[in-house]
Amino acid sequence: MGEINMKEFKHINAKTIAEAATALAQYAGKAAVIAGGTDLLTVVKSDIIPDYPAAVINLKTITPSLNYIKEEAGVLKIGALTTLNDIANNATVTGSYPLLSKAAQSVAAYTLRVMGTIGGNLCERVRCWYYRYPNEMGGRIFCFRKGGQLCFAVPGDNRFHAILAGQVCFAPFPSDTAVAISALNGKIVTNKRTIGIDDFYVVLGNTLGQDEIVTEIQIPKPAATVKQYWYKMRYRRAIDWALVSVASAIDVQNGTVASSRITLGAVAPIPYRATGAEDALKGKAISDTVATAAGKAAVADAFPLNANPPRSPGNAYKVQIASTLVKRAVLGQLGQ
Amino acid sequence: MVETYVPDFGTGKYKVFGNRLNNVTALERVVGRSMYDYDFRPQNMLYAMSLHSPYAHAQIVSMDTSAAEALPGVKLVMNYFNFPKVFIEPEIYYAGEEVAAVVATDLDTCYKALQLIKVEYNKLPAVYDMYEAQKTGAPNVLKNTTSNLRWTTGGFFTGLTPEGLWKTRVTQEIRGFGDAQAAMKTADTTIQVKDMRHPVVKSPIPHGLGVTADYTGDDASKQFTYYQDSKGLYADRNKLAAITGTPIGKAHLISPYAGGLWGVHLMVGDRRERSGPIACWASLTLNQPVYHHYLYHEETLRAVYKQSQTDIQIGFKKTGEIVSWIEEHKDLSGTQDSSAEGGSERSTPMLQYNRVCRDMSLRAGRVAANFPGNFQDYVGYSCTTGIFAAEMAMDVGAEALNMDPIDVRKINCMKKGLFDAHWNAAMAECSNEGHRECLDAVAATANWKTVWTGWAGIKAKTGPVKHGIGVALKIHTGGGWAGTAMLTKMFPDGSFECVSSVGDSGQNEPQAATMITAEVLGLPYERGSITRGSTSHPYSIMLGGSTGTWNHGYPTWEAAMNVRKQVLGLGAELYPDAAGKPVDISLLDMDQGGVFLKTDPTKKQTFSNVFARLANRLTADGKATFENRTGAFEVCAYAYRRATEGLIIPREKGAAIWNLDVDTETGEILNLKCATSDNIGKICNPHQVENQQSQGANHGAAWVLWCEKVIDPASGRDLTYNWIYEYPATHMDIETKFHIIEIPGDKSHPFGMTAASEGQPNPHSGAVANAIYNAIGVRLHQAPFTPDKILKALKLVV
Repeated sequence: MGEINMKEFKHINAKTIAEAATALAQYAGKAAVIAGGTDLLTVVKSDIIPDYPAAVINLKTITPSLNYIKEEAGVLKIGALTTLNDIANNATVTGSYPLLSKAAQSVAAYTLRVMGTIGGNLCERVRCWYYRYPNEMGGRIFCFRKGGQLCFAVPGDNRFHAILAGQVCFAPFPSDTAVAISALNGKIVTNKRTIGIDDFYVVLGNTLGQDEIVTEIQIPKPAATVKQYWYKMRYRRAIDWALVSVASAIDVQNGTVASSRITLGAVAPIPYRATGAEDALKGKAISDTVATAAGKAAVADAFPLNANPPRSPGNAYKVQIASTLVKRAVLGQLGQ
Repeated sequence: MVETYVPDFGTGKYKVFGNRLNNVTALERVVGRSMYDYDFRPQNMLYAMSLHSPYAHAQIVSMDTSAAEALPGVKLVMNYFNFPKVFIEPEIYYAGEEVAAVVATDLDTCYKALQLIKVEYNKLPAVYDMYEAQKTGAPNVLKNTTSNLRWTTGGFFTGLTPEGLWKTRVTQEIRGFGDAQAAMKTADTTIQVKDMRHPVVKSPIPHGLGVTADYTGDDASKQFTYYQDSKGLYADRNKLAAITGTPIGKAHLISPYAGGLWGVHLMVGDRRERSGPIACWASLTLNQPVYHHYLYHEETLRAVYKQSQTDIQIGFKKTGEIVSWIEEHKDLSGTQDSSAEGGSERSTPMLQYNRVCRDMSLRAGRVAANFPGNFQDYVGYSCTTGIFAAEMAMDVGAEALNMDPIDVRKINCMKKGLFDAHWNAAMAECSNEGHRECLDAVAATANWKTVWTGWAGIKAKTGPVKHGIGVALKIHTGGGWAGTAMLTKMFPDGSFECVSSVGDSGQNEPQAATMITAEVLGLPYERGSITRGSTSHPYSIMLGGSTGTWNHGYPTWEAAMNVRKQVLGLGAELYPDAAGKPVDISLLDMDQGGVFLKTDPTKKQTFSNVFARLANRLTADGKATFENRTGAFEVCAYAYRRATEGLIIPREKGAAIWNLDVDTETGEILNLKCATSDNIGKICNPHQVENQQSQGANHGAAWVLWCEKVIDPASGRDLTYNWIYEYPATHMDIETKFHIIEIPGDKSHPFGMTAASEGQPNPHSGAVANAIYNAIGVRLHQAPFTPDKILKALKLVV
């Protein structure tokens, strides 16, 4: 279609991680890093955030490359610049971490997966239609996530928004791979620290510092007794974000659940660990009754937003979906 | 003498028709060589961008443009106060409406300048939804109105002739024929379905929306050249010229590539369309070319297809015949109230189910609202919403009769020769049939006899994931009354060229035109080409839609026949009879090798020899004395067709069956499979029609599954401002199987070709709705059928 006006910014090809971090520090929150660019460029083109970014720092020029997948000492290590397509099709990942492979395969469409990276997917900005409202169409919407006073989804159309953990912002968390990595108890390595993925995210984004860059993802190899499950419910199979997704890794030993990690996607501003469901499973033999109870426990804290006239249906339906998907994850039914 | 070409339906005699050919423009489009309006950059071209309103309804009290005008590179800032002809009034009616424009040396400067414009608004009450707009106390959207609902008028017919036509048409609010109220009382079974709603969705945008206007005159001639993606080049040229009062003969439009499938760019001239007026007036004012093209988000705001609300009551005999049909249909008109096609959907049942019914009544209205966008009725030629409701009601009727829904449709489907209730000409006819054959084709593919388990079978389904199957018919009321022309040339090397301004339409003009010409001339398709893309080429139909091949095929055939006649006439001189005179051309034929006697095809006269007769340039031994590429020898013919009286309108006829699964615990709809069919009379290129069928399924189904345009209830802004939030399906979402039915009978076309393309989305919304009911046993009448609605219908969500 027509030419898109692009915001002016300085482009920096970083040679090392340290150089990229230095540039980030120099721009003090006004700089962005770019790898695949599939998310950042839409943010820039829609001009959704004033004065952002002043600089774009290219990570693809860093050596040694952050594009790798390897298994060392029982830990899967994925470089932050590894594409989603590579992860989806890597033999090690498909063999021992099928949950992650399937989650990566479900992201967007092929043309985006061959460009988009795991680091970018983990740090993707939320897909709230108020947050992303383009400036050129009557002015951007200055919501709470941008420092405003209101989450516009509350009085607005919130059919895709969070039913859990929203607090001040109800934008649904968009990353599929983060949900999978959470269920696999993965960690995120940055240029400064290693952090469990559940501690990486907060309601208004993530805990990355201004000069901090995701460099690697680490996932402990699941035991052979761990059953992995992934399901992403969406309108369209070809390309879509999740209405609700579920990832689970359930370790069944001697007929009962020894441990489990169940994470829901697109129901909260963060990957939502369904700890209630995990507690409901512990020490129990899996049955329809137990699975149903786990599903209910997963959404016990849900507080769906109101439907707003004239046409907004609200998002209470996501509670039913999330509960059902957790139940099926436990039972291993209808997974992808 | 004009040779009579005898159509030869279904014998396999054709050499070109039926071949699967790649779209002639496909490669250049895919590799980026095709030129669209924004690829033309006249020297010294300026750029223009628009400023959009954040409010849905407001008065513009004042506007300070001084800072924008002071920005280096800015040439002009336009708004209502200095260009009232462009912006019409100091009031905006929907969020995102254009309130000002900046013309500058580049787009970045335009964008920066737009941020500097200060607008003082006086907000006014607004309503964003046609359903809310009809409620008591809703603010009036348009000035000088007392209600947002306006009932429209149409034709009411009386005087049924023995031939099944109606003699008299009067214009009134209740359209139709017979006495529907009285006939309803004679029905054995009546059904009534109320408040059926089709969502407002995005129109497919087959090409960019925008205009580059190049004013080159400095005197009274006001010569303009426009660059715009268009499927109706002459119509768009005329509308653009009207903006500045430019004589049509001094205006010229270039559009080498237009979008395919359905949808026509005729927005220019619409009251709320700004791109054309901005570009034209800016170019006229600054005497430089000005490019105004909508950006991605602007495009998705502007192109929308409407919302509707329908009540239908049908009376049946117990044998399934419809004896009465009473309908009330309203659609969202947004802030505009003009549409030639607005009436099409209203007449849908009168065409689609008029085989035996003699009493129908329809009341139709348009509802204004502060809704973003310009409404493009051309999607499905505006029949989609009407068919959606009619097909759901027919399914309810079939259940009430406890009959197979395919059987009920076969009893009542459209009949050849009946009148058209919409168009002004009461005597217009439907040219041929085909619904029954289309139903048979999709029923076989969809395995209807096995999967359809009767109405009682719905209740017997078990498990969380339930399978459903649903059927629907489609029509497309189709246009095609305007004139259209073709200039055809043939050359001594046995190649040919078609020249016309025709857009992509029908069975893919220009490819179909090239195929028709090749077929008539007996030449390989690969030896021909078509030149098009500007108003310097012969006139073509304004609409360029589904009737493209049907309508444009006629002058294409006639011009080709004329060329053929001339070539054979020249060739006849090389075959003297016993008296030394040229043989009658009926004894001759031609193919890629040249002209020959039908009785002895082995002895051919090459085209070089034949064309040499144009100047008697043959040697004594019968050889041409010139090279066949000298260019001085060509045979050329022009043909023009304009049908206005006694018009036979082809219509699109088709059917679809959908198989799908509904997850009754999550509301998810899975495993979408479509079988679709069309009777198109005669096929040119199966690839093209199958592609149309596939895209029709992808759009029509998606519109009722997830493609609702969502408006922020607090501000009226469009939240579905890109394809991420509102998207059609793809081949990865839907498995579609195609059927092309070729039933001859359209006597208005030399090859019996009838309409194709625009109506492809039409059957799918109703068929999907019926399949969902077949799966879950609860009827949903208000699309889109998203998981929240399915779960609510199943009482799993309050």
